[in-house]
Amino acid sequence: MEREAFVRRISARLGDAASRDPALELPELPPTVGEDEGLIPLFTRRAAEAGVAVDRVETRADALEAVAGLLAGRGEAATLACPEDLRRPGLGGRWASDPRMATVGLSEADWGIAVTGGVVFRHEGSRGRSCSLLPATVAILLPVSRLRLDLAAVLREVAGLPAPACITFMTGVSHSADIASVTCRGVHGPGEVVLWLIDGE
Amino acid sequence: MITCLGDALFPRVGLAAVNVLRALGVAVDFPATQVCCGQAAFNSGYRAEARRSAEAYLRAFAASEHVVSISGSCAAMVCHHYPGLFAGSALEADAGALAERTYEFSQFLTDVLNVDRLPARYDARVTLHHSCHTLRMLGVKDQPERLLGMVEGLEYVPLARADECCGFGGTFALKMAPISASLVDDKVDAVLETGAEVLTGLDMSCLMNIGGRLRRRGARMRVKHLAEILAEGWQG
Amino acid sequence: MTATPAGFDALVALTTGDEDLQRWLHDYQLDAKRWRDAAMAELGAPEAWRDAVAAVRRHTVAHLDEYLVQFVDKVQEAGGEVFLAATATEAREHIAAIVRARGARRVVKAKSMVTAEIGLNPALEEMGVEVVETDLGEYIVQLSGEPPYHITGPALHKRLPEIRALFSEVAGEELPDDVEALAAFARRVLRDRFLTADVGISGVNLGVAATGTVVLVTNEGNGRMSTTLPRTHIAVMGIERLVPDWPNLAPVLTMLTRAGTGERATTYVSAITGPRRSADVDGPDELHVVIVDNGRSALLGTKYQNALTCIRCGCCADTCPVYRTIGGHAYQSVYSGPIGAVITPLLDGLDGHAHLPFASTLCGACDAACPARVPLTELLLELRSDVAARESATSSWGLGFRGFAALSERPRLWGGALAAAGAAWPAVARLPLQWLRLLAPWTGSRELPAVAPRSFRRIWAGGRGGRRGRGC
Repeated sequence: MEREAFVRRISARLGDAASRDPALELPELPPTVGEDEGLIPLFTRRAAEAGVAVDRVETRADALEAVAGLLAGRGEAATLACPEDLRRPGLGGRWASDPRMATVGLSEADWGIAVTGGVVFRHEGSRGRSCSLLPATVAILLPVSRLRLDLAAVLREVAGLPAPACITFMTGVSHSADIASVTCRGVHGPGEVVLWLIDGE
Repeated sequence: MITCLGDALFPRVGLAAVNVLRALGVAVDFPATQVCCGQAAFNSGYRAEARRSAEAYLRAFAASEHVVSISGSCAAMVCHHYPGLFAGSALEADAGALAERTYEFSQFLTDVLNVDRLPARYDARVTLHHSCHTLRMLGVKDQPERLLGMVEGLEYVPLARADECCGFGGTFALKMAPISASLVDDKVDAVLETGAEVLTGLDMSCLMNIGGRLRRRGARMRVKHLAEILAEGWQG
Repeated sequence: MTATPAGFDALVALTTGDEDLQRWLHDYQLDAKRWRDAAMAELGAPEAWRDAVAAVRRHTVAHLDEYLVQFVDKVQEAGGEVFLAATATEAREHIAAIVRARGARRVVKAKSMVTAEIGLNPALEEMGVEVVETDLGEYIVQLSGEPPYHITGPALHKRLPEIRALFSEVAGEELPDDVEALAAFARRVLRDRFLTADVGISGVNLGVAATGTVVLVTNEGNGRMSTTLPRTHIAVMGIERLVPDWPNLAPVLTMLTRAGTGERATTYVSAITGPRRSADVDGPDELHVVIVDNGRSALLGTKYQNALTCIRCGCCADTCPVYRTIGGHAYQSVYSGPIGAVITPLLDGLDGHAHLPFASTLCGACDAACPARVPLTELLLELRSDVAARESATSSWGLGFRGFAALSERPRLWGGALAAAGAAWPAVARLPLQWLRLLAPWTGSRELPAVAPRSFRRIWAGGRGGRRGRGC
């Protein structure tokens, strides 16, 4: 249906704007965690509960070394897919030309969410979706400075930036209980997620 | 508030409630013009008919300071639905006023009379069914449990899956009989699991439903409204 | 009340007669409750969160025209195309046209109830397009040719042996008897479909009006796959599934998962704004958002408006004693459980569905759990009054309630009726009462209570109540 007519059908039903609900006023929601609960321990614990292996390192170089180690541990033929800007010599050089073929996909998260143990990716330019989606094992770099308490905190920052074609909020490991209510992992997305919290830059 | 069901089928429950209230020093009256709160008609979608019964209730209890009901669902009908049923009519204020002073029996004892001890003894293992309307529409949950706890010799065994509906639902029991039968069976399973000798509750419609199935299954459990337990156990 | 259709009775009997299934569904609900209660308790003040979700959704629906216009503008600004479908037919035909124009042979679908509502799959299949449901539960019922059983768990009713048989048939060989192996098989098959599909079709859990963003929520990753790999993404949504902006998305998204699956978050949430930008290394080349009315706007400005604030979390079905007894198929609708009983007659009309609002004991468990505070019991009662209005003149229930209302206004007549009934009961009770049609639904499974020989009012009138002897 043509737009004017479509919207008019709705407007007619709702009556004129003056008679409707006033502007939305969200009640202040009380905090869901104690004030003394540090972001890092909370995130680490919740991410682990969601099935993510979390490690903490001091520098980015340390993290990349660990990723290289992970890759090496997966055998001679193991390859790594990651965005252009994350490629460093330290990563072992076994690049997968296609994320579909990679053993491990590496991405850097834009934010971490402590309450859920999840991470957030703004996908734009070379920071694509596939590296955190297609390989069976996904590795994530998350600077500690990017940790936030909860979804609301992240969305406030998201709102301050132009919306890219896709933002992914990823919490834990792909799973499903659709087969006879038994939970299994790695159904479509990665079955293994490894994350490095990086203290410094 | 004796309720139509209470009047016709369970007068002993009403009498027990009257006796307990009097023993607690309450002046109890039974306005004889009360018949029915209109719940069944209302729940079946017959609002005009429900309003007629409800209007008669408004008149019957107009002079009552407090209205105490032996049925949680009937009290809930008054407290929860009467304001909406009479919204925009001349009786809107009366309906609101009646809703304010209507209570379910156990709620009246604990929240209005502030009963914190009872001179009662009842030597039996007892389990309690929390009726859905009483639980969710009136918010009555621990009132009956507290009262049972005040009765000497009474061993209270909580019912598993207590928040699950017994399947009565008024005319639902007749209109959707196979579903109702399945649900009351689940409820009877939970009741029997407690090993209790007595099943109690705040709503004779639920108790009649569960009791009817218990008897059909040959169970020897006694079914008593909370008021009956208190009345029978009253000492001195 | 309208008599239940034979289909309903048969489907109910199928479920109530299956003891295994009854236990399965009951256990499922008890597990779901445990998870949900824990997830809610963790919030500290879950009632405040429910208030927030209700506020956001009710406000959005009350201003739906404004938010819809904003949403459409923003989708288009981001390079997406929007189609506004007044009816199921318009939506179906438009989507089919896109699929045809792309020359698509294969379509992958992430879960979308509204595409089932508009009958999309058969229409595409008729065109010779292979439609593959990629949500594991949807895939299972697609293979078995059944409608979904539950809003978020389409294959809830299927046990392991049945699923094994379905997958084995696709595999052309007997697959192992364990969940991991079956999941691995599905992953292999569906991955191939993802990688070779021309078009991905998804639903929309929530749309963000301020930015024209469609938000998809899955645990499996099929949502991401379907909306990343194919060149064309078609997102289908009901008109009412909006929130105003990013900040207001937070409470709604949080409660969708905590109430729906008892999780802090689903594994994947994709927030998609337009197709890929030219510099983006992956993502679909085009995004079409199809916004479907199909009877929803007719509820605005009526007593049913709040039915549109539902966020399709499915927890009402998880709490419903009737749902676990009759199963999802008995609703004979895409939408099952309490919300299904409400919106099916509202979107599709009362004919054929008039019994659904009566398939409830009004226990209120759904009201108590709904994260958006959809007033389900109230809506069911309104529907019942609409049904009663339709049939009042001819229905025996109407006659009965009118008679009883008259009786309730005449307390002396009522007293007389009680006296007569009390006197007649001993004789009546000796008769085989099962033949009395009115009471047979009761006596089929329960003993009847006795009519008291003397009614309460008679005893009261005789001596103001009171009893000597034991007790009080």
